[in-house]
Amino acid sequence: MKIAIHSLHCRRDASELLRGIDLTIEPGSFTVLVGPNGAGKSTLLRLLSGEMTGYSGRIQWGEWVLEAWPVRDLARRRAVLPQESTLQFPFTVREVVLLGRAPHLNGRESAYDDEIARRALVAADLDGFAERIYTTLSGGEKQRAQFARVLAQALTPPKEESSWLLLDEPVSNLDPAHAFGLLEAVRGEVERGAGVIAVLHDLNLAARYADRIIFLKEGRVWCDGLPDEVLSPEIIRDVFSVAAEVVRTPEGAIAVHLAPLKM
Amino acid sequence: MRADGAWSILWDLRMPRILFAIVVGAALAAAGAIMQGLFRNPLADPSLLGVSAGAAMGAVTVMILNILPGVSTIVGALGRAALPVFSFGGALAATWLVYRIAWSEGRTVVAAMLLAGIAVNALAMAYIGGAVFMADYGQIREFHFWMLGSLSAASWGSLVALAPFTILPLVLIAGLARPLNVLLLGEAEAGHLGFNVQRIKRWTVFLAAAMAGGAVAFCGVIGFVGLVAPHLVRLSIGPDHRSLLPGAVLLGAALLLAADWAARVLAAPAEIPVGILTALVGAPFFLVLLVRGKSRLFGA
Repeated sequence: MKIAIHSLHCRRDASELLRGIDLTIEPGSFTVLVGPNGAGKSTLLRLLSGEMTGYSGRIQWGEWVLEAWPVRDLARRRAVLPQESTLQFPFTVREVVLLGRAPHLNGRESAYDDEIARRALVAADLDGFAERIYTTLSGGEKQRAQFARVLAQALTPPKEESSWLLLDEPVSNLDPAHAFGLLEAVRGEVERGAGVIAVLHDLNLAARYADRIIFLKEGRVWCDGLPDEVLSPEIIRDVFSVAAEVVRTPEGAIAVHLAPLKM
Repeated sequence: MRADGAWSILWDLRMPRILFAIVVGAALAAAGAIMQGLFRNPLADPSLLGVSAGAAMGAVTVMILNILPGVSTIVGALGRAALPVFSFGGALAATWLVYRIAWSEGRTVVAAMLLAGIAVNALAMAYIGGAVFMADYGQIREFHFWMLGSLSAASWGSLVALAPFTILPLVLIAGLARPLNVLLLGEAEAGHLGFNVQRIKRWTVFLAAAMAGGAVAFCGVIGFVGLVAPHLVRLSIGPDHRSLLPGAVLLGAALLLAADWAARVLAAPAEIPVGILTALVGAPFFLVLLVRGKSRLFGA
């Protein structure tokens, strides 16, 4: 199932959030959205997930437009990690992760759901946190628990078609090791066929993990391509208004160094 | 003859009263529990929707404003049913108003519901104040006693009248358990998990208003059962609504049964309004919750 976006416009009050987006995004690849604050990255994700309504243009998931999808069917095929969460009730981490199974359940959780939750916890490096109370976790641990919940929602039996993951700043509260760990886990899902669209602010992480980077600025796609093609000092300066140096490490990885623009 | 008298006390007085306490306690606790899920706040209560204030408006209308021409006709026609009918009507009307005000672009904004509830409560208090201003001493005392809450209206007849507003919702809330669990994650998250958030909100408000409105219509304002019972259950077995709701229903029934027994026994042969007892125990409990949860609620 691929995502096709045609001529997507969105405005709220006086401000134009998106000014004509056309994109086709294939499953089995990791697409990263980057851009300055207010560029429309979150708006695009929220429109794609159906959380936000009121746009012109067309959003198509597989064969159907977004509005034609029964919400529960869509929830079985794409999971969404919002920027921040506000859960204030003392669920255990395992219970939070099992909530991700809700769209797949008809009765109680089965042993299969428990197994999925366990795998999601391992992927989020929360092995051993299952019985901890969510509200007592640190910010980064909460973010990983929410990621595990989203992963538990997206994990499908081997023979079924893979799901989509929409991740809005999934590593904003994570230390470097856990940021790598989480994106490795995402990468693993991509290798198994999942489609991923993530908003990231760290261009080095984008360079390391993305198959495709889309630069958004002022509600438009500024530039779209392989990390190799689009991570250039000129594009970074034009989009972010910072000076950039892009170098290749001896191992062949792309490293981006940023500095303020000289006035 | 004596045996008949004892049987009559047991069957005609004690039995309906016990069942009344069970049903009302269960309904208040269930209404509190689902409201707390809806507002995602363990301190929420149906009175936030204006349920109690609306019911009190209905009550003063019957007790004090029954001199008004149209009102007197209706109150006269309804007879003893006038008080519950008016207070239940008031509770539903206030809730409906709050719900409508919070409605925006096809969905209900929960924060707006809270603010609308405050405004509707203030408006109701003005109406009640105006009525009390016109009342004589006896009417004020009668209204005041109603506000304090009591199960003295218990009878087989009132039990039958109360049942549809409490028993049916108590069954229906089972269907809200999983949706409310998911809603605790957040409205957007519940939507992403494939739930119709607007429908969850509508059912929650409707069922909470029916249960709390039904209870208040027959018993006046009995506070804190809806707060204490769900919270104690949450502390012992966690916030999963699939176990929280049945637990709160049982505990709420037990709490009100105990409170009503104490209300009848403590100052016998006089009877203390049961709302005084539940507030006396519940208010300090509420404060302890507030102090202990302050860091989480206010980020301090």
